[in-house]
Amino acid sequence: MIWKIWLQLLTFYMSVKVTPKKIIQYIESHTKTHKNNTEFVTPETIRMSCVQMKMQKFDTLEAYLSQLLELVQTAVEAGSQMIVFPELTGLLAGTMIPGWERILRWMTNGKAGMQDLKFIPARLQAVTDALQGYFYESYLETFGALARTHHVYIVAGSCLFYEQGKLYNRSVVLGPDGQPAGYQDKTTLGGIDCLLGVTPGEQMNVIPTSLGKLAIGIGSDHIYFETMQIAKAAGAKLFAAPSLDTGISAELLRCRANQFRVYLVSSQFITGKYENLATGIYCPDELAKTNEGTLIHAVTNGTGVLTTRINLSKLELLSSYPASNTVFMHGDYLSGYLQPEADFINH
Amino acid sequence: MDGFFTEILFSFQKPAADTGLVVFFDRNVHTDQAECKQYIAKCAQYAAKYHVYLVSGLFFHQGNLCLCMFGPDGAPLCRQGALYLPADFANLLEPDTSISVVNTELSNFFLCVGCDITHPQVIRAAALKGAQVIVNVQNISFADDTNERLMYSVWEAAQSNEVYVIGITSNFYAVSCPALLTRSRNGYLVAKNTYVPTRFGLNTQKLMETRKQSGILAGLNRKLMENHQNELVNEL
Repeated sequence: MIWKIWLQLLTFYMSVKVTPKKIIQYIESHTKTHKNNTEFVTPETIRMSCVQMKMQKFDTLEAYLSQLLELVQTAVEAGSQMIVFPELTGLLAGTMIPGWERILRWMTNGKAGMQDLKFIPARLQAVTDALQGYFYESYLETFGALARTHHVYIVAGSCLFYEQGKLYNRSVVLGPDGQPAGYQDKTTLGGIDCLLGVTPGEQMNVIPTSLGKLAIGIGSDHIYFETMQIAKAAGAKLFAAPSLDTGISAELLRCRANQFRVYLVSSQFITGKYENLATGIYCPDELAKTNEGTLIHAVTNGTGVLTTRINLSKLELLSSYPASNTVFMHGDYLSGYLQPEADFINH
Repeated sequence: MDGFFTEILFSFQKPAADTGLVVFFDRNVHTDQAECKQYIAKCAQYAAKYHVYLVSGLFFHQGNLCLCMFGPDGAPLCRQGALYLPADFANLLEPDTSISVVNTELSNFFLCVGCDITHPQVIRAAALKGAQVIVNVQNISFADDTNERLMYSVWEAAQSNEVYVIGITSNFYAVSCPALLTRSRNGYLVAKNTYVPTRFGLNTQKLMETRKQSGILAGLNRKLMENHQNELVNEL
């Protein structure tokens, strides 16, 4: 009962502390650059950025926005036209909630360490009910304003969206006009998703942008080549991979870039426990100077942004030996997915 | 069976007494019809003589590029043709159209022929049919046989499908498996090598325990696949 009242008070408090007007005002007044990198776009010179973020707490709205502004401005000054943020960036706004660590301990009955993290469903539901509006608003307003004032596309990492009784790990793309250009729900469940009761998405969406069609694979999605297969068949030219550092390795991302002959922009959230640095931009080996399929790559685990140029036209020139086996693809291959679920693992 | 020893040997080299599976490190592709017949007969005799499961080298058979697996009694258990033909053979042969997974007392095997290892759909189909050990034999030039190619094919297949992959080319061999099964967590049970004979252990029980832990195959989103069947079969 006390917690119910406390959550109601928190909801009210946060609705006053963090408002769309405050977010927009701060971002507009602190935007230093006036570049418009998306004004003129050619497939030969597309500049993409990937952000690496280390877990940090923000006591004030100003501190939170200041950090994001700095990253966006750095990218835009480097000529960036699209910036990819890591998975669950949207939840950073939660660190502005007074007593958020106490709330987390309450939801997990004291077990908030990553090793034994387990949420109590009723308490998780109570917090979701109370704060879903706050997270939704702060996420969309912040990244929308950043995209608009800097005339850039932003793949806003992801945030948790609560819709019709279900929780989704969703990445929203904000266009240079500040409006959502599209979204993608995470289609595979990683550790934290299972703990939170996230519902996996059932569609791969290809999002139209002036740079080219974009597909997003969140975290563990790219462990499954099918997500990239589906997106590429649907016309995607650009691929973003926001993730946590427990999600996917740099080696597997390189594999995907080479298997499907694409540029893959990976942005990672460093939780501090693992040394698996995967933030970078990957491509077919032939297009990387050192021939290792990596255009740019994070070498330390701090917060920062990497920007580089990609040339979509070069992808068309890559040699590939045409191969087709329609009977196999429609037969043994496709039927494997449609067999009863138990057979997937029951061998 | 939990674990068994596998040896990679030169063709018809004598295996150790406790070896369960032999894979030939055969640099040739046997193309002549008469020679292929003799070669297959010799493989069958070898398997029976040493009471081992045997995976042959590459050979032409009935218009396909094939691998064959023999049981310890010399009986052929599986003949698998390549689903995707290398450029050299595209005008000579026809692709196979289906895959078979062989269930044995050692493990469940899939014979991955040639460049089929570079098609993730092939390994996925095999894994969904129950394959636990993939044996891939390729005939490729030294120049093409790079570390990157190894990673994008053999290594990737093992990580994405939670299987053992024994990858043999005309030049090298390597054995990959889910990273959790390797001490260094790099996913290579046997690093890229040319030294023959070589011997290593495969443990199916540990593999299945790893699958429970990582849950990659179990985590396949069936609804997503159902909704995107047209895109899945689109050969890009």
